[in-house]
Amino acid sequence: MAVFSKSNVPQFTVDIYQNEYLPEGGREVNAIVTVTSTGGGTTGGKPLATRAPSGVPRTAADAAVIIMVDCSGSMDYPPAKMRNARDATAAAIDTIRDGVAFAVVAGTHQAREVYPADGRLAVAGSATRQQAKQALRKLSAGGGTAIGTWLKLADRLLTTADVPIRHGILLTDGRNEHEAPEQLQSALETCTGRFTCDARGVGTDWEVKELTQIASALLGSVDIVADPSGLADDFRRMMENAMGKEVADVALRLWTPQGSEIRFVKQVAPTVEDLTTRRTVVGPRAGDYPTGSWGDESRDYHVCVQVPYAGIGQEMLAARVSLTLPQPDGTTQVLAQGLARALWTDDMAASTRINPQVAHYTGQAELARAIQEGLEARKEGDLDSATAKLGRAVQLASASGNDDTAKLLATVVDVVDAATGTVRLKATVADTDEMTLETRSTKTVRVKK
Amino acid sequence: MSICPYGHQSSTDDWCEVCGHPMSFAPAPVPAPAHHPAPAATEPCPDCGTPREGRARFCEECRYNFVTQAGTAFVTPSQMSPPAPQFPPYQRQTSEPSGPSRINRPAEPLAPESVTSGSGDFVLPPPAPAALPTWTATVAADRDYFTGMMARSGPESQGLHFPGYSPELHIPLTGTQVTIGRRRHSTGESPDIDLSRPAEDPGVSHKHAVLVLQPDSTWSLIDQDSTNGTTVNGSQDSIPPFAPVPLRDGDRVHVGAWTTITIRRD
Repeated sequence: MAVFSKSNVPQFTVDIYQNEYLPEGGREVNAIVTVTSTGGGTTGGKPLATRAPSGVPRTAADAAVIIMVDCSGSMDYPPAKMRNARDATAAAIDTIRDGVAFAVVAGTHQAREVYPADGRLAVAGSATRQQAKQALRKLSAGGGTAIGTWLKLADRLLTTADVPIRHGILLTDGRNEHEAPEQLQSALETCTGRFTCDARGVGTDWEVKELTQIASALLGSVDIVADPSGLADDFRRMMENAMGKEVADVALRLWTPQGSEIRFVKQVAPTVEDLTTRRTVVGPRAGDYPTGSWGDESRDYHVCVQVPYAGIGQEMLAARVSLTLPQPDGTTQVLAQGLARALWTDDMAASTRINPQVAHYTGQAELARAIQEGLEARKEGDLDSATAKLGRAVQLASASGNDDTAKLLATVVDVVDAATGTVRLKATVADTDEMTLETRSTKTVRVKK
Repeated sequence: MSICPYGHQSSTDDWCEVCGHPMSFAPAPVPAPAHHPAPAATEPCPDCGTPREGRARFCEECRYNFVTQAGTAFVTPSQMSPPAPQFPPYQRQTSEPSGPSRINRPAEPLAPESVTSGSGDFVLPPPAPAALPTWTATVAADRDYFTGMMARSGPESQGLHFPGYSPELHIPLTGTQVTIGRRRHSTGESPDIDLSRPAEDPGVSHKHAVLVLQPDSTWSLIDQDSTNGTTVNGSQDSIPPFAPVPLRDGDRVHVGAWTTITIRRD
């Protein structure tokens, strides 16, 4: 691993879990890649205080955050929603670290700057925080919803700050009705890679797939906040998480040998996210997949490569996985590296074993798919299919120890036998429960080591 | 920059950045003198290190197959005779000045019991084990197979016509692996049983299947994940790819649109 001169760039480690043995003629190599970054800020995962812990030098203004709050007319029904959104934004502002650049945007069918409202960002300090919270009183509900415009304004504001870590927090309560899907898609394409963004939906009138699409493209988290009174805590947590990021634009670089084919690259922990189509070619056999910003955290990826068959007794490097960081001078720094190998053998016992991590995450990905397909079938009225798929989901959740998902599933189905996946669809399911299950369907658990 | 055992330039030292194979050679036998780096132009055989002769398919020393990149259990004649002290096996003869034709290679050792007849002919001892059965593959255009295949196929078989002229070919099965396929004209690579001669069978893949010699001197058929599959003895179902299928005397292997290869033991 490289050694860093800057004290606050995290240390990355890469661990590979795989069964490297392939049978005669076998070509598919599966590996789980665990990437862990331990923060240079020595927080050990604990939330950061507004001011940096003493003894740890932090460079000022190394991050910028934009808070985008939905101010469409529906936010006033009930008025508590708008009030809670204002309070949550204030809580988030209080969590911003001194020196970090920030701005607040009101989002309707257009985007309007609320603070500092001069086309640029303010630098967080006690005075600016106070002024920002004053400005929140001007947040009032009225208008439509066109999230693409909010994202484009955020992008414009963030380009005025020359900082590595650029993040957005977005809150909406409804569907993106005043914008065509192509316009949202085009806004996402403009913004992808330029900043990361977490998305939250309050209440149950918004579209899970819309917010999931935004969070997925912008490499952030998505969640439901069913009760508006929970917004303040959620915003505080999101901001703390954003403040904990130490390094941005980290990419997962994958080299595979000549004649091989990359089947897929998926993030599998903490949530399932398919990165296969997000590859940028960087060399004849190497490509980069975006992973966004890293603080003190650990994520797992599932890489599947089909290599050319080389013969019994032969050994081949199936994939070289590295974490890379672009440098200001245009070069790339390799932060950590792992190797996934292929070793051909006629020992059937060795080659037919499946690595427990690979098996686990294959199951978790299937679990996410089963939930999504089951809920989709239920919406379409295909109850038999829904029962079968959600039953399979219950079986997988129970077998893999994914208790959170199992609990969410239990709000939508009556579980008869978790081990065999026998379930009955509930006759009435609250919208909240269904949307919570759908939003959190991609959350995975790790293998008990 | 280093050179990998397959001749690729690689900036990485552990695994070749082109083909992924390990950068280091297999270790040379103990009595070897100082390690000779491989010449950049000819790739050395990964199994025994002997320089490959141009684009030859097999290594001259140990029969390693460069095309399928598989070592074989072939044993050279020099190993089978009692070891002659002046000729250690698998010693890389890199001090030889001559190229592919190896005209300066040292003389083959003679077994002590070999006898010269009056005219100077040498009588070499038979290779052990004695009396290996020999097999022949007969390649022919099979009208019955063609008819059955056309009946099974859909619109993609339109435009296929059974060849008017297609002579039978008899090919003895030698070595330990015999590849079946069609010659790739762009690179010139040919399989051992090449089905691109007059009346080229379009349904045969370039690397269609391979016949592998088994320890009991029979042959097994392994489909190389070909596009149109391989069937045996008139069966409707293709054999699964990469699964060896043992063949007996008289078995018929069907590939492509009309080709049947009959395996016979002599």
